[in-house]
Amino acid sequence: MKSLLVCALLGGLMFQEQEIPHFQGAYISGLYGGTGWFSRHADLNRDGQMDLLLPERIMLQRDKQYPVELHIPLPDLPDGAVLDVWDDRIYIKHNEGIRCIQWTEGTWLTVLDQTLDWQGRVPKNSVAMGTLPKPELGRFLHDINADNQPELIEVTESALWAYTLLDRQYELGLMAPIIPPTTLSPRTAIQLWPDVDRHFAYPVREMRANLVLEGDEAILIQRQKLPEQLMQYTVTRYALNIETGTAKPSGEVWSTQAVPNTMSLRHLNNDGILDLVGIQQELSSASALPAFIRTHSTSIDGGKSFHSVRARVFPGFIGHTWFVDVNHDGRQDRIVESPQIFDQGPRETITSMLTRKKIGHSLSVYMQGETAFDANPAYSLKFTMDLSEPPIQSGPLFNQYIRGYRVSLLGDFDGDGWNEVAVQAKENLLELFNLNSGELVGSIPLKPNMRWTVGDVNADGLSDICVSAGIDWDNIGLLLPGEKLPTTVYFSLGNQP
Amino acid sequence: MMGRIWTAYLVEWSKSLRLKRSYLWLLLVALAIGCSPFLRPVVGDSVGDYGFIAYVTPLAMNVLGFFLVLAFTAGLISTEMASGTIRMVLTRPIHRWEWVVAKLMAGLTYALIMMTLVSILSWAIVWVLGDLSGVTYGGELLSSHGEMVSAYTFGFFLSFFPIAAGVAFALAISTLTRSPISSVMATVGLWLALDFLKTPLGIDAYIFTTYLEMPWQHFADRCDGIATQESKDILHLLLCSGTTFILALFVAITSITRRDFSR
Repeated sequence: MKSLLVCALLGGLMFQEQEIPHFQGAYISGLYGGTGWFSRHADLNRDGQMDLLLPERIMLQRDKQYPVELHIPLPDLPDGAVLDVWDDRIYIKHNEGIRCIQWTEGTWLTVLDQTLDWQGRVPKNSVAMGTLPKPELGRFLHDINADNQPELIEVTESALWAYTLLDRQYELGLMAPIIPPTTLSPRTAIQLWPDVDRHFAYPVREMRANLVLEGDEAILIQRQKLPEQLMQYTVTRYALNIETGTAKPSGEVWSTQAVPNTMSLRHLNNDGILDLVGIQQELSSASALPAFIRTHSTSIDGGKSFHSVRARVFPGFIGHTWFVDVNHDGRQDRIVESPQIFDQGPRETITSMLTRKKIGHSLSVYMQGETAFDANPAYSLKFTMDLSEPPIQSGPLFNQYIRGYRVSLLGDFDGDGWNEVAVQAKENLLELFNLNSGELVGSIPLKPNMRWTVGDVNADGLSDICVSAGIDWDNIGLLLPGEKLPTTVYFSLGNQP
Repeated sequence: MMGRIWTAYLVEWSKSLRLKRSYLWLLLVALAIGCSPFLRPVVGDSVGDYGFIAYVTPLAMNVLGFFLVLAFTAGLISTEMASGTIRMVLTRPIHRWEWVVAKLMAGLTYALIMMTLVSILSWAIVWVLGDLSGVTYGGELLSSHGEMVSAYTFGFFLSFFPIAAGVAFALAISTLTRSPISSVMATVGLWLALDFLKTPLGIDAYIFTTYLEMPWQHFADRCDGIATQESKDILHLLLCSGTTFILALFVAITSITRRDFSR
């Protein structure tokens, strides 16, 4: 309440609140930064404002909000359809073919409805008990030949397939056998002794690779296991040509050094080199209690050198995200979070676990420079998180905390090019702090058992806050199957005097 | 005055040395440290084993050792009162407060011996069984042996303050009871009660026991390769320990000087 008063008196970030039914907001897209959406942005009615595509409806934007009267249901879709969007057109992939629709003059116009023989089947959604299979959002459109007409992409066990538009009909334009063959899974190996572990084993074959499409290139990232818990990434690029229907290797095959098998490939900057990031967790050698030491390792030179930061964490502590571009310079900065409970010695830690309802939380930001990460954190903030109950009782607020739902550095709410820190230190209040000065710049009251995420819902360049109900196990039976509670979006209006 | 206190201290310390339990408790701590490698193995594999020292020291010095130091000090005056020997002591040409200070010095000496024993034994075990070549991670030397020794010395020095506060606290309780058993029970009981109530009451920052193990954190952080930050808690530690020490000593002196031992 005090913080609300301060904001009201001194000015600060202002938000416009709207409850949006059926909207689920954003979610943390992995721990390597970024926000994922249960919806997609597109200017569906060509008015220059970004609308939302959901699996069952579209929501048109007006005055930075999504009024309920502009929520338009999609036409009947085949079971298990997958939706993707290109400009103002919605493509619906289903088992029998492809359909393309467009919202024009207050009605749905079918632009294309074609049967297609897919190489594989369109996977059907998992069906929850008592519900019908629902359409879902997916990604199968990509413009390979830069003609502003998307190709339909399909990846099967054997190849990458691309269907291209010829005479208003999609036809198979490319079959690229670039997918590595499957091999017999090591998990198939059966154990004969002890006899209780003996079992029938199906000869499972598997292959793990990542396929990335960038322009007219397909990038295949393979991971090869090496002895001593090491591994090596190999990146192969293929030039895709729709006209000739071929995929040829382009450039040299790039391989990382042998690196620990906890490392994965990411883009942490725009230098064109794939970067390596990884987390290793081990028990603290110095603590009598099961405190974990988490080592964040990063290499932005292909594995030649690593920068590591270590932090002491709870067993099971995840944290919000590990990389965020906090100053919007195109380089992902490293975030290290650490609960401050294991830094008091074994006796005092046990006492705290049993009796303390508030624990300290430290957040450090290591900026990524031109060639390396800074050795020391540029920003170190400390908060006191109210858990309502001692950690030993593992209450809802504690669980939210260790899963990283109470701190976020993903949002730039005032559009100044620097992200703000959003912290739910108390159950009923979300506070926003300036990263540079540590000053409180805004706050939002929260009801009990609410979860929040950060993301730019209306794509206006200012991050917004989506607040939705967490799982209320006491009243979950009151919801119909598949029904979700509405999400309240706090649309940022930026700094207001 | 100083001469009288020093003489009284020597007398009190020699009395303590005659008690079997003084040695028994040191032996108990030594035994606990000696058995620790079974719980937390130390292996000579050219990887620094400072983690063992950071593991053992707070447990042996600030949990078991602190408990025994409290018990030792809590019996220093209450024993004299229970047996009535305090009357004979008070016939000596010494102020009552000087005698209390001498007792306090005996308690502090015992605490210092306990701390030294823990330090020597924990380092000796690693020296014999393990490795003391600095802390490395991924082949990179994060802290040299010298830095680890400095961090430990710093922890040892800082650790003395809350322990000294505990000694004064136990001595104060000792002056308020007439039986050594009830004195020990009251001291340990109050310690535990304080520890469990301080957070719900919101007074944890002002209780010296909060800072008992804190001095070792810098050393433990170095063992785990964590970048340590300067802690403002050091100031709190010194203030809380100092305040408790002075208050407890005041209570002990007041209690002894105002009490009528003729009845």
